[in-house]
Amino acid sequence: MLVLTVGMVFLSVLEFSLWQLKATEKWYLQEYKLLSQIASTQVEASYLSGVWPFEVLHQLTKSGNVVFWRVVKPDGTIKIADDVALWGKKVTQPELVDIEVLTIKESRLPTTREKIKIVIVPLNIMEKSKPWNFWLGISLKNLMFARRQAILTGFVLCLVALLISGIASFLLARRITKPISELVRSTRMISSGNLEHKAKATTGNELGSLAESFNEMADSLKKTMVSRKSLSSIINSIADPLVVTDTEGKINTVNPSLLELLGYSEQELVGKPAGTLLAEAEAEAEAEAEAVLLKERGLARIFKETVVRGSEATCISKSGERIPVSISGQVVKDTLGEIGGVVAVLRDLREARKLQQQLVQVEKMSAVGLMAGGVAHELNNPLGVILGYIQLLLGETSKDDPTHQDLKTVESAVHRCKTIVQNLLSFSRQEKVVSVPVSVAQVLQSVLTLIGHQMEVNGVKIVQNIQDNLYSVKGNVQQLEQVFVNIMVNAQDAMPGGGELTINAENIDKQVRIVFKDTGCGISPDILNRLFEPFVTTKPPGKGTGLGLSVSYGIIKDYGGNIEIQSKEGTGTAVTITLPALL
Amino acid sequence: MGFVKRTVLPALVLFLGTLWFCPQELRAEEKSAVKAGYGWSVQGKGANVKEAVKETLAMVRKNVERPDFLFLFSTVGYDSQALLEEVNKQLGRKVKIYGGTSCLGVMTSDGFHIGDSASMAMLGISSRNIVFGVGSASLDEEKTARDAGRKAVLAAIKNAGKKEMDSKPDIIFMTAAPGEEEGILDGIADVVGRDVPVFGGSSADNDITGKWHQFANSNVYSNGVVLAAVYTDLKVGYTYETGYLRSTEQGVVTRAKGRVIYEIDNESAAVVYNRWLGGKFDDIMENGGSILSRATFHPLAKTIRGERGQTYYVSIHPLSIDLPQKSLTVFANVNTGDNISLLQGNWEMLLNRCYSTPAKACLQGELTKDESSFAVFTFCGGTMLAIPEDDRAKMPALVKEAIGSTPFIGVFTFGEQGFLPGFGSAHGNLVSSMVVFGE
Repeated sequence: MLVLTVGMVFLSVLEFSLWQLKATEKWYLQEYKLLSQIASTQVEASYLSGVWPFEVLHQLTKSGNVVFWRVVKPDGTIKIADDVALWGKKVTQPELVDIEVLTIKESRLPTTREKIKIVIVPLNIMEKSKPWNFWLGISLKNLMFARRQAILTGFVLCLVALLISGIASFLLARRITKPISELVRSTRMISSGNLEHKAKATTGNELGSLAESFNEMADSLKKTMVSRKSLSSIINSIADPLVVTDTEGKINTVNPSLLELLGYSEQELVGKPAGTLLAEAEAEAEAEAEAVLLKERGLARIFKETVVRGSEATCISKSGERIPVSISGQVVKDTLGEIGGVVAVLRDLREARKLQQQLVQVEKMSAVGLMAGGVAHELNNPLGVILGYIQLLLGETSKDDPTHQDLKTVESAVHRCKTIVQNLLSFSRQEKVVSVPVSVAQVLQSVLTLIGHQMEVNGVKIVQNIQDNLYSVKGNVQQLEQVFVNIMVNAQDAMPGGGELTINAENIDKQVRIVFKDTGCGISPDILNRLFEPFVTTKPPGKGTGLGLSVSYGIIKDYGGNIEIQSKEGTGTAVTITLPALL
Repeated sequence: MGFVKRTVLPALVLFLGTLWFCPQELRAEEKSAVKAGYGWSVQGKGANVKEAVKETLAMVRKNVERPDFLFLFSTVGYDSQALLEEVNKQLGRKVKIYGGTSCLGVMTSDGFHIGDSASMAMLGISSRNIVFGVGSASLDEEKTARDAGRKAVLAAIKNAGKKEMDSKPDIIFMTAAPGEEEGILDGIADVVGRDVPVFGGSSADNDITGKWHQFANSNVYSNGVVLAAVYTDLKVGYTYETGYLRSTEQGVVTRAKGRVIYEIDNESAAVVYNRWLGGKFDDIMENGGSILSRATFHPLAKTIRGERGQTYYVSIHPLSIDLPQKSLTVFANVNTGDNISLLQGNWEMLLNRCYSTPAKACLQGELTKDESSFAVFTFCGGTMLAIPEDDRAKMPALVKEAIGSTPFIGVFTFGEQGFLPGFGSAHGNLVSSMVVFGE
């Protein structure tokens, strides 16, 4: 369109210039025709006076456009001319000779081949009834130059006009489009959540009004909508892991809690299917089934049921850890009721599960203790009777009597039973002990003095890390020694080929924590949870009663403390005892 | 028949053979009483004088192999003495030479010749119908100009092989240093009377600094007079033309001496002159100075009366306005009591004189173009300088318009002498003259 416009303008200018030049040329020749007539009159008058009007003719040639003048006789002889070399010469162009009416002929200068016009005026000087002619050669050079200048000027003016109009159009368009662009930019800013942005209302016209309306709309939005920034802040501040998906189940948004839970970065999750978070399908069949089930219970279920609360599932962390979670969520709908995705909050159930297991264990141990206490109490009296009678019978028999020896064996067995009963009572904390302040450090040193040497003989290296100023605890020295000995002997038994036993004792808050960590064979998980039960042992038959840890458990619990065992087969076992400090 | 065979036939063969082998020039002279050839050169001065003379004479010799008489005019760009010596040397025999220096350039039938530094022109004449005699005198050596004029004309007559009382020359050509031409004319008239036409012009230079010279055979003068007395039975046409228009402004010289006009109508001459021109020289009146070029179109004219009542206006070129008397110095003598008037002209009028003057000369001599043999054209140097440079080439062209192909030589002078019937020969300024010889 622009090219067409420019072309038309140029053509118009060209046509106008050509029209103007034709008019100029006509006027130009008309002027020189008149000049020739005046000069010819001078020639006639002067000739009759016997002279030539050289001054007039001289002035003519000085005009710039007159290239020559000549007085030509009817036979073509040049009578006089501006160039004296031509005087008396013959005109070579017959069509220019013997002209009887004013004529304008076109010719070319013989020297330069320049195109010229010759104005030929018949004079009133007659020769054989034919007039002499006066010639005035007119150069068209200046006219041509003027023509070129006019066209050039026209084009230049045209270009200038186009340039000016172009600049004006640009400025005008810019004046119009700039506010529009500003509005578009403002729209984008606001759509991206920046409700603080204001459109600049620079003009007082309709666009200015539009910008003002736009700003009012933004203010209104700001008042009625939670900004994306605020939403993001809220999401990030939620302590529980949160995930938002689109309608295809692809993750849109996650919060830092989720990233912390699963060990992923935001970039690793956004855009991925939400199933990524849950158990992998490639897992073992049982796990896969569980995963599918959990998935079904998880996010997918939200789409089905719109709202899900507390659905349990298992997530897979980046490191591959299976993390039990509880999922609550619901679908997100827009103002038209269309589903836009799912927002779900996950809750880590690992701690809850652990507490639950501990609770079960405690309850189980409590029940076992009650039962053991009851049994021991009931056995203690009969055993006392049995022992009394046995001692009576012994007193009645001589030492050489084979019966005496048998009674001794029975007495030993009864003693052994009493010990077991005593231990069961200890486990069930029905034993009456006197609690006094006890230095844990001293008890440890006492135990190490007692069995340390023997353990080292058996290839166990003992490493002590006992904090100075270790708090004292309220308890019984003998009981604590029994606990520590039980644990250390178990450690030694777990390291038949030798190993290392590290003993750490330190104050933590208002507690004393003692950790015995060996490098033994470890304990299988199925036994680990039952270790504190009476008569549960990993030792071969005859090596232990299975009451050591049960008694230790009972003692520690009796002191208000806690005893835990962490173990991994092939690696070792750590027993941690926590006792309330006596401050 | 035997007589015819032995006597007539050999005689006839000898005659025809002689006729066949005789110089072409001789055969041509049989046809024409006058042979005239012109030449010119614009080669520079110094070492080129020889070449310039050679070039010029070569052109002359195309029409006249052995001239008896030579008109020689050159500009002051040449060493005049060397020039004259070279001309004599190259001519190779005793040729009578008459001439002098010209202002700026020279003219011939070929055009207006003006070189970068010098130019010369020659017109060689050979005719059994013309006898030339060249005489000269130094103005420095004679008591008066009149004495010099007398001496020079006597020498010219003698050089022509004539005796004083034999007959008067038919015409005398004159070239003198500017300044005392009237006295010289009086001296000539003392010898030959006032009825012998004297034509010529005062030798000139390019800038009125006195570098002019006069040539007489082998003699060069810087302040002399050279005359050529011409005896001929050919037709001679001549004219002496002022060519200006008279104005209505006129007065009587009430005080003058030589070439200084002190008063016109008892008023300072310059004041009167300036008033006649409407204050044209107001700017010079205060301090005086040269008005030579600006006065070319506004000369004064001295009225001369012939013995039969003819009235002539001889133009006089004002040279300067002089203080304190506010007098006018002019280029011709003015006497107290002379009637003086203001002339008006323009360069077109002056240029047209290049046609009218020769045309009138032919008319006066009753000569047509075909009858003319050669001509001598004298044109005021100041007048020539007033014509635009681009138009000066028209001067010889216009002369040719008047005299056709007649060979001519032209000189630009600082004062012109010419013959006024009934009065005699006079000296004027801004004048042109033409002398045409024909059969």
